[in-house]
Amino acid sequence: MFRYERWHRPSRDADETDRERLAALVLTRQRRIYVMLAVMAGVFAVLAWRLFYWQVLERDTVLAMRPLTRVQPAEQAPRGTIRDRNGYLLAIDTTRYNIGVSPNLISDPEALAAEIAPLIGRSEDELKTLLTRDDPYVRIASMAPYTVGHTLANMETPAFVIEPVILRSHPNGTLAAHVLGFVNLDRQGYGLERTFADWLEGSAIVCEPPTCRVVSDVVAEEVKLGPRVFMPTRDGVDLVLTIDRTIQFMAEQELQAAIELYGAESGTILVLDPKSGDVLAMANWPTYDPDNYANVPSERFINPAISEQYEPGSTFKVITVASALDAEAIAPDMVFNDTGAIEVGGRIIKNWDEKGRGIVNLRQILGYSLNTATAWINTQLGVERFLAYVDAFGFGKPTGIGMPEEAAGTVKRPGDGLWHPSDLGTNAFGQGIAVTPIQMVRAFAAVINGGNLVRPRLIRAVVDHGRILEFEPQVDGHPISPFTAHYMQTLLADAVELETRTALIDGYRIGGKTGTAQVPIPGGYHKEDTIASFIGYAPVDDPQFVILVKLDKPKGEFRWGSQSAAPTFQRLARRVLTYLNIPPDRLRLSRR
Amino acid sequence: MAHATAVKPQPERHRARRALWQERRSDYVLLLSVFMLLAIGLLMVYSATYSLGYYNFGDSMFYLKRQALWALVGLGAMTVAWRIDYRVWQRYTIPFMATTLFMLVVLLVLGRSRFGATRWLLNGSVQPSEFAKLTVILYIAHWASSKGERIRDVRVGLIPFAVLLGIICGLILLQPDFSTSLLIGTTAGIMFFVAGADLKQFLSGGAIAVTTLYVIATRAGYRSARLQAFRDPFAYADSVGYQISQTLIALASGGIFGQGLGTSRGDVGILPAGHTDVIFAILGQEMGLVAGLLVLGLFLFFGYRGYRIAATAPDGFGALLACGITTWILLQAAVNVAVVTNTVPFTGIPLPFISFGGSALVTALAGVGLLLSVSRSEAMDDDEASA
Repeated sequence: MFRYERWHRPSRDADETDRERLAALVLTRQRRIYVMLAVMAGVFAVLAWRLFYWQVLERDTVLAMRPLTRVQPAEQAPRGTIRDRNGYLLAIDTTRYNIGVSPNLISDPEALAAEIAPLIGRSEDELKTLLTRDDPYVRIASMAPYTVGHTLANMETPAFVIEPVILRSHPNGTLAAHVLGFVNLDRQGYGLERTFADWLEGSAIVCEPPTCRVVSDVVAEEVKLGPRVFMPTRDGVDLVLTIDRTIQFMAEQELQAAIELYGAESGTILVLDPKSGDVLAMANWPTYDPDNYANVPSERFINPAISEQYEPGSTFKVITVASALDAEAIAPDMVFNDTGAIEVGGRIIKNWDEKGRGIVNLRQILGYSLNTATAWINTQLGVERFLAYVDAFGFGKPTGIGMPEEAAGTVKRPGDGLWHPSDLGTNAFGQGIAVTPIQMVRAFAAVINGGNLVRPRLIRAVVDHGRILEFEPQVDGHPISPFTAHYMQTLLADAVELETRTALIDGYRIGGKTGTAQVPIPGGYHKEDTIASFIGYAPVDDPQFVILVKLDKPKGEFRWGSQSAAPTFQRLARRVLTYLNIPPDRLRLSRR
Repeated sequence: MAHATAVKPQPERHRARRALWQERRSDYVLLLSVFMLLAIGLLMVYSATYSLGYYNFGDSMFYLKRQALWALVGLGAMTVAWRIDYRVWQRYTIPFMATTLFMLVVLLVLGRSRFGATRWLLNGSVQPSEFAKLTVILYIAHWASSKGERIRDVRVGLIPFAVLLGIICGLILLQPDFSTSLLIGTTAGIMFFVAGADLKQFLSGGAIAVTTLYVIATRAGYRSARLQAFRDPFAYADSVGYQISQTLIALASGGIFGQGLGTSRGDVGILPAGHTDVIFAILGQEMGLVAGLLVLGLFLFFGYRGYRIAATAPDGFGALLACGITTWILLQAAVNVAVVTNTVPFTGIPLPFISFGGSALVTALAGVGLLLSVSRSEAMDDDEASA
């Protein structure tokens, strides 16, 4: 039936020798089978010992090696978020991944390349060359998004080296870029990110009255500082700014539109709450994208609203008039005979149109923006008193907004080598004195808010591990009396109606002052270039905001503040009034 | 017809012997150990893949279902092999061998490449080197038993054996699949030894083979990296030693009683190939040393029963076939566990009956069917078999 082991096949008359040999063969086989069983038993005993070794004897040693995860933890400490006054996010840490491979661990570069090419966004061929390079480590993607990093980490390939990188990102793009600033990969930066780096990285905050108030001392899971409830950062401090992202957006939009419309080079808009000093918006153009700072010239990172000095021009007349009134150098019902020119300190000062307007009162002086009259008022005030008021209004020194890059401005004084007696006359209408936009808007706020020189601020509160610390508004002095301030409040509203009709808003009474400053160049002033500005506030009886609009070098007739800055103010103020739910004066005042 | 090993043929008892043979009990104890291993395997595959399956396919049972299907196919193959008299296969060993060689060559020419190695045919569903294990065992059993005592002759035994084995192992090595080639070579060598090879020839041939394999092993780039990882896995834990260090951490975190079923995969993809080649580490992590020793014990018990079947087989072919299949399963299990415990350098080889994978499971179960078929036809009486 089965013909095998033919050589042994026993014949019917079996040969005894053959049988013995066959028996010996079978015996050898059986012996050797049991030898193999013994060998296998030995092997399995060794394996059992190895299991015991790893699972019992060496257990603790191995477990000590456990924090071996493929995605290494980031080395940088997480930074707290930056939020607007209502809790909306302005800047937050996000995780990105740098992805590398060890080519010697890749068994099939072609298949792997095909698989990950769409994820990484490189071509298959390009990836294949990278994956087959003879290097121990090859970077294939930098700053890949979170989802890509995790998808690759979940692919069961030991070849990937995935390092997380914490990246600062700004959900609103360029919004408030100059305020926020940015941090680079080494966590160095500009703006608030630099100024408050210690806080954002979680260092202890000293909170002592009266500047700071502990609102809540419990470690909260959720924080509510406005309409937006948010989760505080675990290991950092969250900054809550005074900026309102909506007003900031409106300001940036109007600024950009104005610059386009009037052909200006650059500009700044500041929106300040005159009562608390809260900066509601701080917009500059040109700006930059803090998520793509690498290709931006570094001078653009500087925040012009606090660091750029300019000659304020006629807007400064408000300060001169308020000071003279407060010092009782002039009476509120004063009149001045304007001949179109006046001599101060050996220099003839003329009006912008070189015309005289005869007998004028304060309202007309401000309304027609008469240089001659304000120069005369300043002579009534005198150098010493004038400079005392300039100091009291905070010019010539930083406002204390809390940014180290803030400029101080330049105020000339008798005896400093720069002062000329005629400067008393020119300073009166904002020439020969340099201020920053934040100084100007703050001094203006003091003129109309009852005479309190509030300290402008950008940080409203911080959330330190759920502990809410609120900062109190600070007042740095009272340059003028409330009585004078109250008079100025209506005087400026009366004046603006006289000639600057472009600033007026239907339904609301506003006050303000235009300014058209010539741009100083070596040896004098530029003939055409101006800085057109307007500072205004609304509503007049109860100012909710002060807006400074400053446009650099607008073209043609727009170089006059009344033609460019004033209408910009009007458009922005109208939107802010609506946004802040301020009813028109007719309704609001009748309700009282 | 008389058996080859029937040293004292007794024609008058022929009828009775045949009846007895049919009554002879299959080795149900061996079958039980296989079923236990299979059950542990399905449990571990599910435990190791529920999150992976959900993550990749939205079905946490995805891998379990596939493995269960393959187990059913394998049990079918096992039953067929069990019910057919194993001696039938003697006729087909040469065609089988030829087909296997042909498939291996075709694979080298056309096969799909996956993970850097060409091991699959027919769109990734058939892995010829798995079936090669079985056909090589069948062929060697047939060839060696037909030579009988003459196997001690170099010209009859060692040289043809070495040439044949060299061709098969070479083809598999070219895929490249070092571990399967090593496994087939070792199994064949042990069969050659059991078949009655001359010890001197066996040892010298073995020495040459070991030297060759050592040279090949240290040459390939990825293998030298694996050697580095073997010597100090934690020093290379973030690169070449990643898999083995993760495996050892998995084992260690299991301890004696384990940390519980389903707990090893807190995060998808921590342990690469956790459901295939290093499933034993998942077992060690989730059920501890106790379960690991149980599995080792079951394999050793399987080996005891398998070798017992070989020793009591009614003929040389049956003996060598049973010995070959048992050796193959045991060796594969031993290498797998040795890899997981870092006793040998890392190599990808599945744990029989337990690791996820279709071809391997079906082949192993078919091998069990052959073993059972041999056990069914034990020699009539003990004195005959041990004569």
